[in-house]
Amino acid sequence: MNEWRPDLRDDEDPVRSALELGLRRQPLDAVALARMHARVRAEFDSLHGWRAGVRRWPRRLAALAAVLAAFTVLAAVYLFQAEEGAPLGSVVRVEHGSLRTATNLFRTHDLVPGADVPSQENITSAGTSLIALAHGGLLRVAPGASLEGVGPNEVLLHSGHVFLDFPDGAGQFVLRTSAGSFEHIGTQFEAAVDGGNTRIRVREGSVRMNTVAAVQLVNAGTEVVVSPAGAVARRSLPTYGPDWAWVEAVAPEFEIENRELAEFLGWVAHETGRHVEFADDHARDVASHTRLHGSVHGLAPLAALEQVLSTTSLAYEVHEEVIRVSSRR
Amino acid sequence: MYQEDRQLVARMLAGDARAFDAFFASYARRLAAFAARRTAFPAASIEDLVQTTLIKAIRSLDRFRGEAALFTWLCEICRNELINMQRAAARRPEHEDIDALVESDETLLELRASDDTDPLCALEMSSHRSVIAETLNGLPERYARALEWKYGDGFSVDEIARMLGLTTIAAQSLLARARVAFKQSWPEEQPP
Repeated sequence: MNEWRPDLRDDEDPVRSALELGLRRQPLDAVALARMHARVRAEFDSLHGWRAGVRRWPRRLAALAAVLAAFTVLAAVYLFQAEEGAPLGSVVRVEHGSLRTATNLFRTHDLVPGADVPSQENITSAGTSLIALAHGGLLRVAPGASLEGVGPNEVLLHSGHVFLDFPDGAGQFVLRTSAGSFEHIGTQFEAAVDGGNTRIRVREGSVRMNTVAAVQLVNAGTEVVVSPAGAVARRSLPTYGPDWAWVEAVAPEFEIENRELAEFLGWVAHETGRHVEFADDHARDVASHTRLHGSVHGLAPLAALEQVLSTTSLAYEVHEEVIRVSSRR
Repeated sequence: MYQEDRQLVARMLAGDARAFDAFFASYARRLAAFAARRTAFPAASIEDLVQTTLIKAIRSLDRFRGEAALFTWLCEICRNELINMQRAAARRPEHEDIDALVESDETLLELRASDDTDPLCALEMSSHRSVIAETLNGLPERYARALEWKYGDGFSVDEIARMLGLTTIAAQSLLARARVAFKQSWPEEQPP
């Protein structure tokens, strides 16, 4: 990735190269432009061409009536959608780079922990960010992601990776991309948009996927890729391991003070996509009767597990999707 | 100010087809590039977006007062259309019964890579564009806009001068200062 990067200190040309490469993008070919020219020209001829002169006034009166009607409809829609201006949620944590909101390309400001995440503004994350959603659940944002809150229950992902995690009983929440909408059904899932493809990886529960082609359920342990043309590809995927490393690194803090060890083990299992098995009854008893003290602040889930169990009579080993907890011998 | 833009619009309002062709040739590609820098929508959606923008502009030509450059005016329409399009995509109606889906089998399809884009190149370009956008965002708005017009949209210095209401020399000077500011703001390290 560093191969291309020019040295901008030498002269003007590298600046031009950098800017042209970064800014110049022509998505339409000659055929598309010709097609568009024909359509827009037809509109021009009907409105401003010589044939249009005789019928211009009736058309303007009709346009005025249409504008008034549209204004009335918009006012009604605005009144019934007061909720739309509500924030998507609030920032819990921002690490390794800014979380920035932009009303346009040149007007931006950085969001800090505790700040509301506004709806209907573009949001970009230079580092990793954790957002508590307004109606329950957490949104983790990976470096380089670009998204927009449509309201407290919806987010539009333009590009990059995000991860959504909803507690039991959480309300409806929809993630949308150019490929369609994705609604959680008690779930943890990752969504990624890259080069027009949308990829969904479900870690827990199910996701209802609504694309142009179909509505389908995507269950835990499944990855789905939707191409720009709407083609859907699926494969199985482990719910643990390196694919989820960035998600675990943005895990919410777990306050262990005066909490049961069993509860802590449940958090580790949830955050690492695994489940806990007890090797013996003693280990199970210790987990359900031990109260924890102190803090695991700043530690990733497995590192926190290592630290906490080192202070108990229990040991653990991780094997694929299982965290096996046993008594020390 | 913006005399040439006002004349072009006046000729179009008078039904001059050549003026329309000049208008289309000047702005359609640039609007597409403008839109593509602001969204990840596929080319077909960009085409719809630019077409809608131009049709709305054609319908509203008599409201162009020449208080801003014609391209600036078109960009504002395009920006609003882009927001409308994103909201429309976000509110796509849903229509199937979830219970029926739960009972249905999942379909296993072949995993296919995109055949027209090298993912690594796309990622590098995406990263580079992010760095450029971040650097521009840190500059004064006038600098950022002049650089975007010059290097993104391919406007000449004379055209930029006209759009900013400056003399050509003042526009050259502005671009030179903008380039220096860009160079100074360019990060030493690319982001990971």
